[in-house]
Amino acid sequence: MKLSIRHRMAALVVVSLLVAPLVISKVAKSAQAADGPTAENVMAAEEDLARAMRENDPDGIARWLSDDWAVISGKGGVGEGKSIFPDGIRQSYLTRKTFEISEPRVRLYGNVALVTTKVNTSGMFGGKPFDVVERQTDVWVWKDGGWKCVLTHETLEK
Amino acid sequence: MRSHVHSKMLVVLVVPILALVPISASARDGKPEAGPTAENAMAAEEELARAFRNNDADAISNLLDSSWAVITANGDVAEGPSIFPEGIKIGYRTLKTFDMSEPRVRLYGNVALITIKLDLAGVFGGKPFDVLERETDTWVWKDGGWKCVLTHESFVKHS
Repeated sequence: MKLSIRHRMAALVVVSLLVAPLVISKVAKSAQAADGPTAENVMAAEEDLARAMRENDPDGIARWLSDDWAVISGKGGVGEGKSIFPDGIRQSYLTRKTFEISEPRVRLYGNVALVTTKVNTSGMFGGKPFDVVERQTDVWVWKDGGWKCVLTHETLEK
Repeated sequence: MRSHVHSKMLVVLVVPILALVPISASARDGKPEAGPTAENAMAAEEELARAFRNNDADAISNLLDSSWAVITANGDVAEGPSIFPEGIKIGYRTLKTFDMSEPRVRLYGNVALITIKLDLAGVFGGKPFDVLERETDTWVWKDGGWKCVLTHESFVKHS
């Protein structure tokens, strides 16, 4: 009986030692927010925003945008408010077929990150097809343990 | 003798008090004391615009950070604060007009975003140009002043 308790305790210790690093590693990986602002986690945010754009996912887009977000469009217009793209998608005014980002340039200034990418995007806008290459800068601000995009400035490439 | 000592002491007391007056005045006027504000970020933007308008290479350099880059209106990326100043110095780029309007200013702690509409004309590589742009300058507050770290330009097109 005494031996059995010892065995049980030893088994418990061994199992704990084996499992604990796996659990800790998983938690650390998912909780990037705990790391504070880094070039890596802002690029992860940029990629997830690109995925949401590519998949025409209005909620996925809205989640990344700050309430005071604005866009400078490729034609130089200024659009204010985070609902512009999500509403356009819901009303089928904007439907993307592609949204691929490349050549990222990432700069971190404290709680603010600038991410400039080359964007190949195509789809339908207002009933008309489009297929363009843009250079885009997203300005991200670290708020409440996560990134929010506050400005998107687009330029059409020639 | 005693009266002489009194006079000396009076001078010793009064002079430091007088010295405080200009210090206090300069602290009130000096923008760095205020910390980052939308107002002094816009003042820096206007100073940069004036430097561009006057083709003043040194004044432009003073306002750009060593990490500065420009996304040109054609979508190219050019790195380094010497690009515009050198273009001016060698006569490759000469501006005649640099008029800004419709400023949109947002402050996020030590970072300011300023988007403006820009009426721009001059000579570039021997060819005249006259364009309308929308430009965002990102400013970072460093050592008591603003430095521009990124300029992103787009042409304004009317469809």
